[in-house]
Amino acid sequence: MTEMTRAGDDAEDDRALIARWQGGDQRAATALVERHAPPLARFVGSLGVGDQVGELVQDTFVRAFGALETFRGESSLRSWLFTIARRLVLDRQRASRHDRLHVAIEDAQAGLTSGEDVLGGVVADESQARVRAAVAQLSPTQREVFTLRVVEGLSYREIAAVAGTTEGAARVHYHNAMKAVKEHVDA
Amino acid sequence: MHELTRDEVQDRLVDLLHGRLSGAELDAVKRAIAADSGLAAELLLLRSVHGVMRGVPPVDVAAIVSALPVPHSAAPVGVIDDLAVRRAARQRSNMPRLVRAAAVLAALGGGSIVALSRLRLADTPEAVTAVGIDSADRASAGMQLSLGTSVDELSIEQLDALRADILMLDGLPSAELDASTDLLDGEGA
Repeated sequence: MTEMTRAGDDAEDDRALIARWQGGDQRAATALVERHAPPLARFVGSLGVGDQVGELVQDTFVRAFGALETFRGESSLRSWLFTIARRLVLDRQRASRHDRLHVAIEDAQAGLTSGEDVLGGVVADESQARVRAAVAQLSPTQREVFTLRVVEGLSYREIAAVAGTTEGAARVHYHNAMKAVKEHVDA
Repeated sequence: MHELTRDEVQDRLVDLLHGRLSGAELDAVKRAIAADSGLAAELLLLRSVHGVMRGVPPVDVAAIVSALPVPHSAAPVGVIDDLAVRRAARQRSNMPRLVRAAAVLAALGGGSIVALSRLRLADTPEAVTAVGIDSADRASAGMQLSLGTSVDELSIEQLDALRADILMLDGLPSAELDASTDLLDGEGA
């Protein structure tokens, strides 16, 4: 199955579920949340928000569902949710006058570790620790683009929409991030 | 499919990781990786990153769903449509109801007038012949209604006034319709 086909199928499913929810079917809302909450939580977690992931994910869904009538389907629902989540994180960051998005490497590592602790199943062997450290040492923009690309599998176009940049810039950020991770792991 | 350049293969490694390649494209990428240890190492690294960062922080789906707003266009649209249909049906059926209401009022009003006239016989025996039609009660109704007038000749305003009078009478069913009335009498469909 090609990326285009699968993305198209997902988008079609999302549109159908949205229509059902707008028609009063609460199960459609549950299906949408179940489908998108995990990747959304992962993405929000990658922005270094610590223990606010759950709250931010919920706020994102509430805001998105409140504005679903404005969702025109030009992007995927998932990337639209990511965009909303990212703005919420930035808003919170501004409100608290504390740069939580541009966290220090130690904070980012702590965030990743806390997510891992919750899972309770990831073995902290040396190679994995290296990978985590390699990702953590990326610049915030590189880390965001790298995570969206590698972990969530978004296209450069979707990443550009989420991160408010261009497709070309997203591609450059990804390749720079990939290079930096390689160097860190091989060092 | 033509052979892919190294850059093109590199761009497709993430797609391969997410199982989004198929057919000739998948074969071409696999061939390229088999022939290029650098690409193979990069795919390995991508798998490692994906595995390490794939963990999901806990999310409470039920709590999220319960916090969601009610869709703007869900139930209200159906209810409004339904009400609009009922309202239209009610308007369509108002005229015969008003005619029926007028008939009831005329009958009851006439009976009351006759009863009142009998009570007044002692005071004004000479009025017996006229009281059935020209009583003060009738005048208070604000209309030129007599028992001899056919309800079919009444104007809409007169019928509305009659309907209002009926509503003021105790012991009579309301002429205001509701949904169940529509369903029961079959006129709301």
